[in-house]
Amino acid sequence: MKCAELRAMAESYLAGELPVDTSHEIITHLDRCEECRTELDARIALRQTLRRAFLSSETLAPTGEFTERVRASLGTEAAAGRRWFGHVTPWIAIAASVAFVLTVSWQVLRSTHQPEASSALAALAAHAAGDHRHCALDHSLEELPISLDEAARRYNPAYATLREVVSQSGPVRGGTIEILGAHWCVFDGRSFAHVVVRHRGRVASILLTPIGQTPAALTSAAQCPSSEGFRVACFDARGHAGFVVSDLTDSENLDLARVVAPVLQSYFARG
Amino acid sequence: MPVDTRADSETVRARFDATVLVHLDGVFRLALWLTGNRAEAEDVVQETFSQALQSFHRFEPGTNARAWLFAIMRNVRSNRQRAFRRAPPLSDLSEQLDRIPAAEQTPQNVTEPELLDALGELPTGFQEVVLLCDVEELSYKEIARVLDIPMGYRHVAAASRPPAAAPGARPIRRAAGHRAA
Repeated sequence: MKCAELRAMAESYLAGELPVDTSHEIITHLDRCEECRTELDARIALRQTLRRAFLSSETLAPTGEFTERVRASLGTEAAAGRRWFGHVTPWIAIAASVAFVLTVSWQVLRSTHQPEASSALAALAAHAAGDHRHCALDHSLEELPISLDEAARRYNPAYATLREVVSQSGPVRGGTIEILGAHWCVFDGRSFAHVVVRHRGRVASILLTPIGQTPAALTSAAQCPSSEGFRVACFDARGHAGFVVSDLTDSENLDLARVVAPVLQSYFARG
Repeated sequence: MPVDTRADSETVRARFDATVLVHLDGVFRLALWLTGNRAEAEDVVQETFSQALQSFHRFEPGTNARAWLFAIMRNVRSNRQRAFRRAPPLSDLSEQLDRIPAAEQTPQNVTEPELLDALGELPTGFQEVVLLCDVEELSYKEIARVLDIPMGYRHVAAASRPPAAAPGARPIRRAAGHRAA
């Protein structure tokens, strides 16, 4: 890759919008080109300065009085809605029940469960965030983790080499992936193959939980709802829902997920 | 017999607060920047959150709540502006991109006020794209949805035309470079 090509793609690279192989080419180029590194650092600094300026500007902040006004107004709207629902007559309730049954039947027949899938994914993401906190950060799980070798014997031979698979992930922008540990753990009744890494100086968890049916077709990593104050990115890998959880920024966490997800997907697809 | 759905309503409201209302500050900042008028921004944001609450059942968990809110806000703004003026569509702005002066190298040590001034000098459509990309960190796909422009369009077509497509720092870098020169 030439310097001009890299600079033309720099914004898309920083936005995490390039395919993995192109990102790898950029990272390889940056390793040997100080000028481009300097240019990219300047662009990163510019974005950070803009973000900081915008989000910390007192001139742009809402007043406390306005914030309270919005909250109160929404409270009134919600209460109005509740009053209406709270005094429905029996025939409306019956009609609603019939409608509900018809809706459920239609959804079963349709055999596409997108809203349910999303809820399921959000619930799994919350479990992943909980496991990150209680296992990787607080070491406060009720059950002691077991080794991946043991998990491989008990559940799936593929788990034995999971640590090595993650270590073979490609380079990720903004730093390396240092593997701190790997094991099999259980949080709140859900099991995870868990690789704990350090990236950009923060502890992050790469979590894979076995699942009968993937809740959403996430062939590339996507942002999931934050949970417990952590950023959560999710992806699927045959028979597993995968998550990357950390307190990195949204884009940094997603970058990390976009690097490890293809490797894990390919690994489980072979399995 | 009355059906008491108070508990359900309170659960939904709690989810709304945790998922959507937490973005009030960010939505207001964007609204104020784009309208340039605090009273107008307050009206727009109030209406945006009211509509968000009414249509919260359509919000899909797992998707970006901020992107969803920004899309609602854009509709609200559009409806309010329709009576007296319309912002030019992005397609009309594309030709302006190459007319914005660009620095050879990204300027360093630009201060926050200088950068906000530079942002303010961009055409409004570009300002919105820059803010959604660089400040709100929305993906190109999410930006395309918020702005209701087809994916693949020049400003957000990262995959097909990355050099020309960068919606983020390119215009702001041009403006900042112009100011720093």
